[in-house]
Amino acid sequence: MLDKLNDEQVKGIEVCRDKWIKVGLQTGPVDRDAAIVAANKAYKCAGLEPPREVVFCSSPLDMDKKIREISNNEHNFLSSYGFANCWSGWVAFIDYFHTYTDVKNLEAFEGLRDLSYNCGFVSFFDTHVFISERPEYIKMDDTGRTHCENGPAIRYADGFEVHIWHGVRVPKSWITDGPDIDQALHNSNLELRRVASEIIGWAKILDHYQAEVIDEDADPQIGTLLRVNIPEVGEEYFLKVLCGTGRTFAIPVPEQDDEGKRINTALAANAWTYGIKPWEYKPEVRT
Amino acid sequence: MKQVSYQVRGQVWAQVVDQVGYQVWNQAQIWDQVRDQVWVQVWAQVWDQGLDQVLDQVEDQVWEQTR
Repeated sequence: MLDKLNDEQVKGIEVCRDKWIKVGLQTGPVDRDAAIVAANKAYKCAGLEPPREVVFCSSPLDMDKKIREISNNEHNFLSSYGFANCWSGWVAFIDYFHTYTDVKNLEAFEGLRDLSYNCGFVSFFDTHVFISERPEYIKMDDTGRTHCENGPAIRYADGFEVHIWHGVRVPKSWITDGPDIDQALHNSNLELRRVASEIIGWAKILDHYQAEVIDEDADPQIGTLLRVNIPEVGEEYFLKVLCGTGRTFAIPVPEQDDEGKRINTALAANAWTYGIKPWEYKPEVRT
Repeated sequence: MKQVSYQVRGQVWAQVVDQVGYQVWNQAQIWDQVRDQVWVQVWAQVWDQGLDQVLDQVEDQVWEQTR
């Protein structure tokens, strides 16, 4: 029985955690020899005969194709993947006890542990095991959301790629060429419509729809209050401002402030974005 | 060809967690300490802060390209 952790075991908690975070986020080619050994061990640990064949796949899409071919379309990737290196949180917990304590009878876990080290996605069948490569890279924004503004955020070596804007998957053309303004703003998916507007930039959209100037402040950092009629969206109000980095951008603002008073100057709109009254607003630099 | 995911992952996982539980069950603080500092923190870094989206996005893309 384990009833107390010694100093070395306490230190091991951090080591184990960091090791498995690294495994979970790993990219790059799998070690195929090690993956075969790990897959055979996983089957043995489960009391099963080893698979007749280990099928390596260059990406999840390739894995889908191979599973369909070999199973005569009975199975596919989406219905069958059973494990992946990103499940390392589960593995880390058991690995800690297996590595740093004398808790017994955890050998059955070694197959899954070794697969985590050596695979991307895995699908287990009685006669075949399918192992996908890991992505070549995964790009994220500073909050950890998958994101890339000038290419795929996830890419596999065989060219399978996924384009993502701050966690939302978008068509490839939106990243490579930019969304078409009319198409983007008529997209039935509201989240995609928002993302398209972010990618294009509201300032460009307002120019496109020839927004009407309601009030233009002499200070470009206070900006210009605009009204625009967007097809199928209706009348919207925006504040177009110059930020401290020298870029112009546009912020959607309501027609009325929080007290129901009409916003009819750029200063009032700018103050609203800070949650203050126009007479309290003294612009410094908006970044 | 028959799927054996449950036998290879689910059943083995349940078996090893049972073993750990059996041998530390009366020292809940050890279980909790390792759970909070290893399992939860790895999960938070690897899963909650990114790879859940990676899985979703990859699944969506495969679905779209194969339907």
